[in-house]
Amino acid sequence: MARVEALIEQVYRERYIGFRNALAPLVGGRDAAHDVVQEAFARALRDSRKLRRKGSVTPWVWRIAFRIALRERGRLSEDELPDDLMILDPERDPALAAAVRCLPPKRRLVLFLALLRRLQLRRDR
Amino acid sequence: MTNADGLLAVRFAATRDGHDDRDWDDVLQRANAQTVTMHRRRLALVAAAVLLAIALPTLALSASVRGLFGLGRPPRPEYRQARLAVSAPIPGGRVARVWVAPSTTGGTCEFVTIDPAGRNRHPVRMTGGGGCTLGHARFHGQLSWSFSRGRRDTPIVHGRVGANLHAARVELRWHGGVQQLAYSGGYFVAASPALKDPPFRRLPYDIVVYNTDGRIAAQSRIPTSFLYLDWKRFQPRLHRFRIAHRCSASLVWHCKSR
Repeated sequence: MARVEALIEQVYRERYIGFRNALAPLVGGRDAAHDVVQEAFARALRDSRKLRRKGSVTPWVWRIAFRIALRERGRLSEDELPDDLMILDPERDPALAAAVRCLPPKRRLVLFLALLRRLQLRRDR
Repeated sequence: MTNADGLLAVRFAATRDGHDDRDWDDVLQRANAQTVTMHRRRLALVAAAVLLAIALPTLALSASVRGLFGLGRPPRPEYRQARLAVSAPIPGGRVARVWVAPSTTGGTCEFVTIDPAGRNRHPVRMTGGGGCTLGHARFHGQLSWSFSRGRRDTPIVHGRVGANLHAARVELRWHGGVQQLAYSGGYFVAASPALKDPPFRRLPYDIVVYNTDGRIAAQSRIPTSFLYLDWKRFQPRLHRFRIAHRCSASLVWHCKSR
């Protein structure tokens, strides 16, 4: 058990920023995303016995975080994903923000899930 | 496709925030609080079934809670060596006392007793919640807290503050209000009616530690779900409240009106 908890802590230390940044567009801000990630890792610690393979800690915690984020958005399931995703600070890259706005909701979602999760899965530097 | 992915990834990466606000101690505290809350709910159900709720002053932690962690023989306080850390009057002519004692396994225990005011006896059991570290471990972390409540009782919040924070006072803060908590030597306690099924307009609640310079040294958010005994009933109402007051759809409370 202690081994799993150590793994979870390691994932936290390596992936926290990526998780937070990936979820921030979904929950509407970095502070909110911080809370979601904190809560997700707390639940992971609490439910660490449910982890079946130690090698899958990162995607497991990510799924927990993602579900919490969806719940915070008032969505009930992953079938009701939000359609208004946007990069957090559009002024940082107005062209990118405009391009994202032009996408149909589902494509916008696919874009965010693919790109932001890819960023989230990279280790924090 | 690959090049486009790469270009987009770079553009998205540039919008990222590298600010590092990791706080593992906060994660540990939340995990512990979640476990305690789940067990309290179980206790509440059992208590209702056997009509023991009337007799229980608070939903106290017991050895079985520590059993949730898989420990065969959980550490217990060495009550005879308990030291009073801080106390505060609570409704009903009673007093809540926070005690610190070595544990039976060489660690440390922190626990609360609830007694009639004026009775100053040495503790013989936890009557207001508490816990012990595992094995020889000491408490660590900058700020930890817990609160206990029953359907009939005023919630009692208590906790400890790391010595490195040089804390001068601890407050419970909510939207539009604040309550000073009794604080002494790194420990705090208070009865707080404000924590019992509060009106949504008061959310969120934080425990805030101020240092000797008057600055905030540590702060911890009390998860909203902890504040409502029947959270499943309150959650949809809170959702409607957030929509009605145009609150941000997040854990952080920014409402246009309330």
